[in-house]
Amino acid sequence: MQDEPVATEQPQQQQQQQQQKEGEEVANTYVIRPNFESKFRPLLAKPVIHEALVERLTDKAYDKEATSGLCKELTDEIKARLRANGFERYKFVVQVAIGEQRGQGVKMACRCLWDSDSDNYVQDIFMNDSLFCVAVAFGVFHY
Amino acid sequence: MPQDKRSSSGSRRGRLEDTAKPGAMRKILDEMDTEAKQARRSKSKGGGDKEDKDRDREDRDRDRDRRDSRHKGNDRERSHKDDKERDSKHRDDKDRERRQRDDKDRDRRHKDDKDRDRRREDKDRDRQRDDKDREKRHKDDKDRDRHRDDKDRERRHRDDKDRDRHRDDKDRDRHRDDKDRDRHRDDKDRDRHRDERDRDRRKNKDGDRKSSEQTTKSNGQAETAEAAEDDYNYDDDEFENYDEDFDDFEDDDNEDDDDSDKDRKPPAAAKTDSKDQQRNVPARQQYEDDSEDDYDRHKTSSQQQQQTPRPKAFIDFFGAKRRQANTAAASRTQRRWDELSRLIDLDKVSYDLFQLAPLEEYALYMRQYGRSNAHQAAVQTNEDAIDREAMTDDIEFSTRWTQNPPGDLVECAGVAAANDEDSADEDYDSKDKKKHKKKQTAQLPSKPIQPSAKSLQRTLDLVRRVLEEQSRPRVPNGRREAAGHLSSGFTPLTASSTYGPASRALFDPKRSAKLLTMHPNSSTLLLWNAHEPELPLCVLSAPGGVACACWTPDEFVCAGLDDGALCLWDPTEPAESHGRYDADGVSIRGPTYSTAWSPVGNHLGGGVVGLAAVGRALHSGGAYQLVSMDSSGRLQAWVASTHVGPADPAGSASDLGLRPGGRVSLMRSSRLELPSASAPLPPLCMSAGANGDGAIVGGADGCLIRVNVGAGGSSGSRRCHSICGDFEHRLPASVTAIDASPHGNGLLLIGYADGHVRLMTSSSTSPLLTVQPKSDSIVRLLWSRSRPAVFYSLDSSGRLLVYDLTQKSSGPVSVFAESGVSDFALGEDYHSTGRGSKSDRAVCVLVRANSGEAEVHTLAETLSAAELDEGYRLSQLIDQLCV
Repeated sequence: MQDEPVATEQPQQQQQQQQQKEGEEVANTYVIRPNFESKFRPLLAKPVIHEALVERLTDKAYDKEATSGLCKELTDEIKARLRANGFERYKFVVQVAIGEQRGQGVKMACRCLWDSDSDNYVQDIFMNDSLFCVAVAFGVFHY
Repeated sequence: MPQDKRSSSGSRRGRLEDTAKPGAMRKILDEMDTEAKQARRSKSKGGGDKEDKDRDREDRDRDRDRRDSRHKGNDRERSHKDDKERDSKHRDDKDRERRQRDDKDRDRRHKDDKDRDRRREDKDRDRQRDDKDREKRHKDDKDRDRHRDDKDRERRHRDDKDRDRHRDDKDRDRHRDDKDRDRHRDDKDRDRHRDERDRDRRKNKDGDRKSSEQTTKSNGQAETAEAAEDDYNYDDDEFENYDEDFDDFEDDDNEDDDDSDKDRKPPAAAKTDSKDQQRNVPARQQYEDDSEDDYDRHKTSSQQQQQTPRPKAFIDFFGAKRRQANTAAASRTQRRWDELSRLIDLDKVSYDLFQLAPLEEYALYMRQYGRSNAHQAAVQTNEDAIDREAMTDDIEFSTRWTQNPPGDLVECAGVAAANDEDSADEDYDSKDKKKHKKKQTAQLPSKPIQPSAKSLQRTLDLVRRVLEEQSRPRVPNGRREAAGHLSSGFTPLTASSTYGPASRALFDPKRSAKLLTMHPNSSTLLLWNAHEPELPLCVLSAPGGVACACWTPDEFVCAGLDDGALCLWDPTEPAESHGRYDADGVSIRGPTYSTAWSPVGNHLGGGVVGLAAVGRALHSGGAYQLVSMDSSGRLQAWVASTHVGPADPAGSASDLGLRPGGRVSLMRSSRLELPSASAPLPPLCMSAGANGDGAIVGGADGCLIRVNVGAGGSSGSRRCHSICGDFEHRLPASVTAIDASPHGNGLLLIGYADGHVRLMTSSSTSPLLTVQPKSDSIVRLLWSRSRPAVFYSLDSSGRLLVYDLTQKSSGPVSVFAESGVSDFALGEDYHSTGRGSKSDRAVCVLVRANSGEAEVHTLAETLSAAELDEGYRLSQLIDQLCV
């Protein structure tokens, strides 16, 4: 607020008040980088996702009905596991896609507008004879 | 309180009218109405009849709806106004006063039922006038004009902030109530009423107001924006304060506020608010049956309770509050972003999350097929299956041919012709083809066969003679009496006339029963057993004209051809392997080995003019070499090697000179150059050395050169010694005949073209004896195989003379034949010398010049029987000559 230009009609008195306030108020401090230990690193997070996928999907065949529910469960589980891993100040966006393998070609891509220094994504793929599953977790640092 | 009841009943009635609820409710309403009427009557003078009552109800409904519509329509405006709702405490008092005044007004309204519309206007005007009066106390004129519509808010701007803070909570509650009410009020009719009433009221205001601009503020966004502009700066401070009051750390709290401000009020908050409201008005509930109705009534009642005197001010509370929180949150976020954006960089990145290539048709098929219990295996047997790669290397092969039985005159095996190969190698790529062709050209004979007119002529001649021979009865060979005294009789060798006249005769030095006659016309050599003159043993056929021939110590026959090639025959080969026979049933044999086809190559300097075997036979523990000389004087030494083991009927793949089934081959051991100074002219004759350790070459200039081909030095000059190169000893004629004595005394006979004959020893360089010429040039000189001191000489006139050194050293002692002899040969005499085989007798072969026939003469006693001391006397003579 202080940064905004002061309206000319503003009474002198208020301006003075504002100046006073500026003097008193210490500028905000922001944490713009995560601690190294809590940084969202794909190397650490990938096993988490992988475990979740393997646990839930091993020996599963593609089932049209069950897939949407499975996706939701997986996303929740991955999110929970990621949170449990202590990536502080991170917000997670987890996306899970499950498709049937019928010899078709698949391509998934994403675009992100973010701060690459602190934000990252992890992706893991699980495939068996009947299905493929792509799980992506975007970790966005909350300043 | 009675007023509240009335209003609530009014609201209920409005609803009932719309929804046409049945009678029970109607009763209650009627009761309420009567109550209201009584109250009205008590306050006002005029009693109301039923019509008045109804109208009154409608009027009230309209009032309330107007207020509500304001709430809904002008959220932003209200939020601004809301900010200014932090009223002073004494404003509560004022409100109360206002309410009382309103009550009075309303009473008045009831009294003047008939002029109600007019009265209401008056009342509104009064109310506004009251408000203005109050405002005037706090505002200057300008502000009042501008904000006449939102007087409350403006007034609040001027108020102390402390007071605002105190009132804040209360206000908020009130706003929530408003919102609840808004939400629950679905009644469209009521909305419509509200609108109408709004419009009415606006007209009233217009009438009151003198400043034109501000009148329509409540209508559109333009006005609200203006209001926002006007109030913005004032609001700032308040927002700051507000934020500070609501502790910065309570993010959640703020977020909640934000949410609520964004038209999505959390239900929880609504509930609590309604509860609060219920708590505030417990008494009212006693009169209500329907809880929903009751709830509605709460709203209206609370509204009226608090803000009936100034409905506009009340409407502003909620919107303003919401807008304020909204702006607060927005500004907080904005500030946050402003500060953070300087610290961080956002970038746009894109990732490929997952990529799965589509399966090929075949793979897909296999995937499904593989689920069934089946295997698929691939086997490739040939290159037809081009879609699969062979695991084995390419097989390299080349086409060669061999002929069985082998042809005699030409090669018997070799690489296939280019045409054949092309057809055979169709599958090869061009590179391989090139390679094979190269190989083939390398192995092609350096001198190809020309089936010339000459050979055709020869073949035709042969045919003619065969026909002649068949027509003429064969004359049996009988022994005939010789003309001279030196021959005890002779047997002619009856060769088929197809081979033409003989030009030379050669005895095998080991076995004199073996005789070779050379027939240059048919390029053949006939091999005879001298004791069986009727038929030759075999016919040795050469691919070209035979220039010279010799026996090797291994009893092979070697011939030098006039094209520079050497041919070697192995007479011990079985006749079946050759498979060709002439008219008399004599086996015709091709050369076992020919340098023409072999990689070692021929003489390049010209035809072979001299051939001699030097050394001893292999089976007698020695080694020998063949020395050949071409017309340009180049010498080459050859080694004949016998292959161990059985012969390969398919021939040798590497040595094409070897006939299939042959076991002997020639290998060149060295090349020798005669010293050019001593041999300016090409040498004409050559003979094996006396001791078997070298060859003696006679030059055209009369010089004699000994060539040592043994394991001596490597350089030609050291191996070639000039024997009588000195000018004083040299005769000015070319050497035409050389013979070394077979008796081991080291004597050499040299014959010259001018008829001289010289006797020399191999160790000396000067002649021992020179016999003056009696005749024409010497053609051949031969030592007698029986008597060491006797030698024969044949001159070009065909006269064969016999010399006996012990009787007469200056000339011949006798004449063997006067004329007509073209060549002669002497066989070994086993009885006198012990060499050769036991059956060998002293024989001499004469080749007749005119007929070309060979005659085998048995030598007379005088020539074959050696005297006992002949050797001794010869050595004495030599000694004398040396001295």
